[in-house]
Amino acid sequence: MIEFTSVSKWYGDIMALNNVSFRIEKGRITGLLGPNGAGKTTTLKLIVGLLRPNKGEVRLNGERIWGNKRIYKHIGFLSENDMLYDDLTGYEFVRYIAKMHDVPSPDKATLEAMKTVGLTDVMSRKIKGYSKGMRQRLKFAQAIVHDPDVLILDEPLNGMDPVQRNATMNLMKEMAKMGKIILVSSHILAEIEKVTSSIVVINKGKVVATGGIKDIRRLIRSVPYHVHISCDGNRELFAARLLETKTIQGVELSKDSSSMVVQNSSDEFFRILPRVAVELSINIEELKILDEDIQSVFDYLVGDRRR
Amino acid sequence: MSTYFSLLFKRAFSFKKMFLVITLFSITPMVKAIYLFYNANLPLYKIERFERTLMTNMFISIIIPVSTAIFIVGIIRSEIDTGTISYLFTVPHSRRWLPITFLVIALTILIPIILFTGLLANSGKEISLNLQDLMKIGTLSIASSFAYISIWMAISLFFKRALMIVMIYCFVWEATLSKLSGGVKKISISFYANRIFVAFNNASTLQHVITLLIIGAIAILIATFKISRMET
Repeated sequence: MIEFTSVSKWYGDIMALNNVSFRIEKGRITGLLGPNGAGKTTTLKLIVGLLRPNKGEVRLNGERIWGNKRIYKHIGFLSENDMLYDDLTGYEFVRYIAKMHDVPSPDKATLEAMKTVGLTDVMSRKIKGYSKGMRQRLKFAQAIVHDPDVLILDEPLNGMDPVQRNATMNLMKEMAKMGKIILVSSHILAEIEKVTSSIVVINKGKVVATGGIKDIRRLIRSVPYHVHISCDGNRELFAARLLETKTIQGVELSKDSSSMVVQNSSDEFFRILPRVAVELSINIEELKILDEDIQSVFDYLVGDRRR
Repeated sequence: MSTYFSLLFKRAFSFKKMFLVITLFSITPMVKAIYLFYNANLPLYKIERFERTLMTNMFISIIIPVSTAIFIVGIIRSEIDTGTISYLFTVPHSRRWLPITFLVIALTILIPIILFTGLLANSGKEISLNLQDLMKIGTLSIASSFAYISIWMAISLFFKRALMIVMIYCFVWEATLSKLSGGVKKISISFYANRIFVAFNNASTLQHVITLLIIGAIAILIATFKISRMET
């Protein structure tokens, strides 16, 4: 388990993280979300021991991370920066990393890691000849070559084509099933949503939410749910009747004459809705919450969207 | 230390850097060869006097500091500036071995070059090898390069524009101020290195060697302290 306890980190006058506390459990993928400059990379660097907290403590399985060399064996890190030893071949680079992690059979482990990321056919080539996607996969290989318990991935899908993205996401899921802690930072929210429903949202150096996407959405009571209803019959009457029940705050009739979007902020609405439909002999064909996805939750939390 | 050694040693061998360093070190023997070509009939004492001037004013005061600076600052700053140093910081080994590793790599590569070019520049009319010269240039190259490399390493870890700072130091301090009379010159590496060369086997030689080793050791300690607290 990774644990942040009242962690603050600043660079001169700039506060990157401000009294942040949260936990990341093992055996699952956690998405770290936040707008640019929110403190995501600082958070990740604190976990891998590249930064020292100015205040508070970052611990992995109860052990302090900064300056604790034993703990580095358990952590694999894929950095956002495109930093690689360009004059080495892909194989040499990953093998050096394996050796530096005291992997018992570095050649075997290197080959395994290269196979996992699908780079075996180009591993004898110098890194400077690699494409952006290949470089990204090579960084992934060096992060997993020592079979770490914790995988910290900063924008791992950058530069990858859709096929590579899917393969990498499947790999992450497999690793999480093996009981590893996987923390992924990405600005492609839809792809985070494909691999996990557990998120940590950071904004302006503070953790604004942690937990499951739907749980977090439920907690944002100040913003009503937007529910799309497709139905037949008299939808105007249906809308008026729903408004009368006072379980919805507003209704928007769509142009297609068979659907509407209602705004509600109470669970009571979902109990009343079928009763009213039966009462008016209306068939509900589709019911869909529009703003329960990761993008909506993220937008509500960081203040980009207020409906 | 061996963990970092093989990777960093391979990295240190960049063709451009090695070409530049070897070219710089070759300047002194080349100047001497040109001098001999045009003054072949001069008596030996005059040639030796020229050699001494060349060694003290060029080889020891400029070539050694500048070449060691280009080499070590290049290695360290490229690791820091490109961010690849974070690969070395996230392995289960103490960062404190890094400065020693950098030092050993630089000494392993540079000392043979300093020794070879120093002996060529200091071999009189004919290229010959005698034990006295080997000891003198050997002691000089080990002690001075240890001190220079350690100081350059510490500067590289503290400053982004390390090479510029080191070059200013080389030319303003080592090559100029160290020639001044009085106590000022004693706070330059080249003063002690020159004393080892000029008065080898003198009673003070060991003292000068120890002084350079102490300066180097202090710089290594500072570099170790800095690297162990460094954030990237």
